[in-house]
Amino acid sequence: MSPPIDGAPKAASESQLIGQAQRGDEAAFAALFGAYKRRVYSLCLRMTGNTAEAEDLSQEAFLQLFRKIATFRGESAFSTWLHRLVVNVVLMHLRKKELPQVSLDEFDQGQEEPVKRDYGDDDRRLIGSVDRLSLLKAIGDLPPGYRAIFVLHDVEGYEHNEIAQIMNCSVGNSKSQLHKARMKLREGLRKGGKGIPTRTPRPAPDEDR
Amino acid sequence: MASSSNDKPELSRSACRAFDLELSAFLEGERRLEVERHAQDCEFCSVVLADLEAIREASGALPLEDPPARMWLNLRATLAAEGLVKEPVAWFERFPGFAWFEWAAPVGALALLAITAGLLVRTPGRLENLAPADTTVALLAPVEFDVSPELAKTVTGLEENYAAREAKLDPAIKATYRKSLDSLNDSIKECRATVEAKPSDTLAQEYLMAAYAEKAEVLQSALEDVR
Ligand SMILES: [Zn+2]
Repeated sequence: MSPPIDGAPKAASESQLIGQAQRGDEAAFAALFGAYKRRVYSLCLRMTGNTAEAEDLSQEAFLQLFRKIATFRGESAFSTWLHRLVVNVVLMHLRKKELPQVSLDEFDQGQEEPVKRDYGDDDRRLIGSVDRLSLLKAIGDLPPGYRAIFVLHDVEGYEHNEIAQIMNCSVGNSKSQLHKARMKLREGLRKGGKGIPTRTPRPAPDEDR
Repeated sequence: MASSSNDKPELSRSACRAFDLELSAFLEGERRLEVERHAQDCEFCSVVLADLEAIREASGALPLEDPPARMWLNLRATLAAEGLVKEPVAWFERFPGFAWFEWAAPVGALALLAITAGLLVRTPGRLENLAPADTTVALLAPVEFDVSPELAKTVTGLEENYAAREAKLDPAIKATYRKSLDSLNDSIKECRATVEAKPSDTLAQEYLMAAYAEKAEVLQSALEDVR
């Protein structure tokens, strides 16, 4: 199941709109834009962590959508089609910008060591509830590959099999990346000074670390 | 409660490592009794689990954000410049009261396309030479909402042309044109004042552009009618 689309038209009227847009009807373009703009922009914003980039990428994604809309034949749901397109636009951008030497289908082939944490140093609970601004910042600080999978799964609500299709990786890969992303995010939030001691400090078990 | 992890550090850490290895599957909803059990026994690991669950919950509740209003204007202009918009909504269709103008549609539609693009990108030179390839590049630059001098000149030229020939029109038709031009001039004045007072008002910018485009259409149609 793809995530529910904010303000998306009902299926029947949506396919009408698509048909009208395929014939070049401006009002149909406007209606499709209106239905999906918040979801597309928010996705770009979460994946880039930057409003200017998110604006450029959303605009680029809608342009590509409207240029390609004549080829949409309804084999998949329109929202899925659109989201895949948006994610591809963002990933292309991130690859150019931040991952010049790594392609996403080859990143993390399980060569990395499992997520490490310092046992005995984790006696501070993060949060009762995570504060939104810190969370947004910490998501923005994640490495791009992790960020993409984290956003798709935990923010957008995609399933691992869908993410595997979008990211061109295995389901297992998606799962392990997600877990690492969450652990890194937690680390980022703790470094951000949001951790609160769960109890008074005691002598550290490892004096030498 | 169970022993603290300090009592048997080595043993406890191997249990914590086992917890780590199974944690991902547990969070995916798979049944992992040892994870639940260890989280009850181990303070450190229970904190990790609570944090990850809190992060997941907070992430799923992030609100959607609105893109800036200018995004649609940029998109619309590019769609028009690339010819993807085949049936731009003509001004008289947006104002049902002017339905008598329908015969002027083809000329007006052409003018609207050219002028919308010209307005957005301040493309120098003649509107009829506006090649899609040029505008695509130009449109990626930040949108400039000032009405370009070229466009202003074009509209003024149309206006002068029309004023010189207006007398040849049937008085009833002439009055109707005059009335809609006056109303458009009022709109332009009003929108311009708003844009000048508040340059960030994208709605006013849009109205201003629309009013200019409509004025050009009306003048084009009127000139066709004189011939
Ligand atoms: Zn433990």
